[in-house]
Amino acid sequence: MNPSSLELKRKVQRLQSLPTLPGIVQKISQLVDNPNVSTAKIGEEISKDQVLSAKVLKLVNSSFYGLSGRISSINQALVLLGFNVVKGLVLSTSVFEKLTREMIGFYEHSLGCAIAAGIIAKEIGHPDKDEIWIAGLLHDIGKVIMWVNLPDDFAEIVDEAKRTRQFITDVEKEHLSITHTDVADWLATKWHLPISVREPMIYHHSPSRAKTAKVQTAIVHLANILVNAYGFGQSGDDLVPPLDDQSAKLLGLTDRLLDEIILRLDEELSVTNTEDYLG
Amino acid sequence: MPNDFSPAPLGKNCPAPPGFSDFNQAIRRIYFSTMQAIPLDLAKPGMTLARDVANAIGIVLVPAGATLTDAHLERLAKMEVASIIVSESVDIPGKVRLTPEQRLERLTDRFSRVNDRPEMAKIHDAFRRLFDGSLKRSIEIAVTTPSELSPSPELTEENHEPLKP
Repeated sequence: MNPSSLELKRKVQRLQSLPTLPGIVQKISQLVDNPNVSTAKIGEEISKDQVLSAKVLKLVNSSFYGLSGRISSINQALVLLGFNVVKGLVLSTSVFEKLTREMIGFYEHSLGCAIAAGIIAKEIGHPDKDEIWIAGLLHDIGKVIMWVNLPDDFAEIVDEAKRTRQFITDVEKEHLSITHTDVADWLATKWHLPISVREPMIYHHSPSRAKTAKVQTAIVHLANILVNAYGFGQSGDDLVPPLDDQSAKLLGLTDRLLDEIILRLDEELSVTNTEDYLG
Repeated sequence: MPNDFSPAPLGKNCPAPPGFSDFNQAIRRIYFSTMQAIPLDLAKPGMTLARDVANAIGIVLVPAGATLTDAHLERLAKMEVASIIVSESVDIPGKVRLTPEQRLERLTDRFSRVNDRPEMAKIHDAFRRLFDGSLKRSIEIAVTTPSELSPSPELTEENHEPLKP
C-alpha cells in the first residue's frame, strides 16, 4: 500500500469518533438509551426541532408507498412506524442534509433503494416493511459519511472504481481495508439500531453474512441491485453488483415475481422527484 | 408459479387505489397511463393529476384524477407545492430525456461485469423488456384476456421453486 493510502486509511478510521450527528440527534440517542423515557417524551423532543420534524414528515409523506400510510405528526409516526423507523428517519435526515447539490445522485440512489426494498417487502408479504424501507434508505450511509467528511479522497475512490471498472467496495478494500458498510456499522451501533435494520444495512453486499435478519438483508441486497440496474440516482458504482444465489432462493424470486417488482419499481421511480425530499 | 392471472399481476398485497374498486381498472390506471412529475409552473389547466397532491403532513389538497383548473393551480402555488404528478407527458426545460436506445445502451454497460451469471442475465433481460415496453405489454395481455392467455414460456421457464422466507 502506498503512503497516501495509509494516510487515507487513518483518516477514515478517525471518522469513527467524529461528532457527525447534530445536537438534537445526540440528545435523542441519550433519551433512547434511558429505559424510563416514554415514546411520547421522545416524540415531543423531536417535534421541538421543527425543521427536522418537518423534513421527517415530508420524507415519509412523499414516498408513503412502501410505508404504512400518511403521517401527520412525529407522535403518529412513532405509533404507526415504530421507534426504530423514526430513529432511522431522523438519522438519515441529519446525515443527508449535509449532502451538497452535486451529491444529490447519492440521495436519489438511497431513496430509490428504500422504495425498491419497500416494494419487494410488500410483494413477498414481509410484515416489517417499514423497517426494511428505512434499512434501504440507510444502506449507503457510510458512503455519505465518507464523502461529506473526506470529499476529495472519496471522490478518488469513486473515480478509480469507474476508471478500472471495479466495484467501489473492492476499491475501498484495497485502499482503506474498510468499506462503507463498516462505517455504516459504526453508525448503526452508535445509534443502537436493531439488528433487523443493522444487518440489511451492513450486509447489503454480502447477504450470506446476516445471522438474524436474513430475509430483510436479502431484500435490501436485491433492492440495491435493482435500483442500480434501473439507473436511478448515482450510487457511485456504474456497475450492477451480482445477486447472491441464496438471497434469490430466500425471497422465492421467480421470473414472474421479478417482473412484477420491476414494473412496480418503474411506476414509483418514474414519478419520484427527489427535489421534493431534500428541500 | 400460478398460471392463471388471478390474483392480478400486482401481487396479493396490493390494494386497489382509493376510488378504484375494480382491480383491473386500477391496474390499467397504474400501468397504461403515463405519469410524470413536473414543476408546478409547467402545469396547465386541463391536465389530469395522476397522484394526490398532499401537503407535508399528508393532507390531500387535490385528489388524483382531478382535471386541473386555474383555481387549483393558484391554490397549489399559494400552498408552495413545488411539483405535481400528471398523466400528460411534458417536456421539462433543461432536462434531457434519454432515448429508449440510449437507455438500453447504458443498461447493457451496467450489466457488463455480471452477465455471465444466469440470475443477473434474467434481471438484465427484465429491465430490457421494461425499457423497450414489452414488459408492460405482457401485463396488458394478462389484464385484458386472462382466460385466453396461455402461460408465456418466457415467464415460466427455468423458475426455481419459491422457498418461503
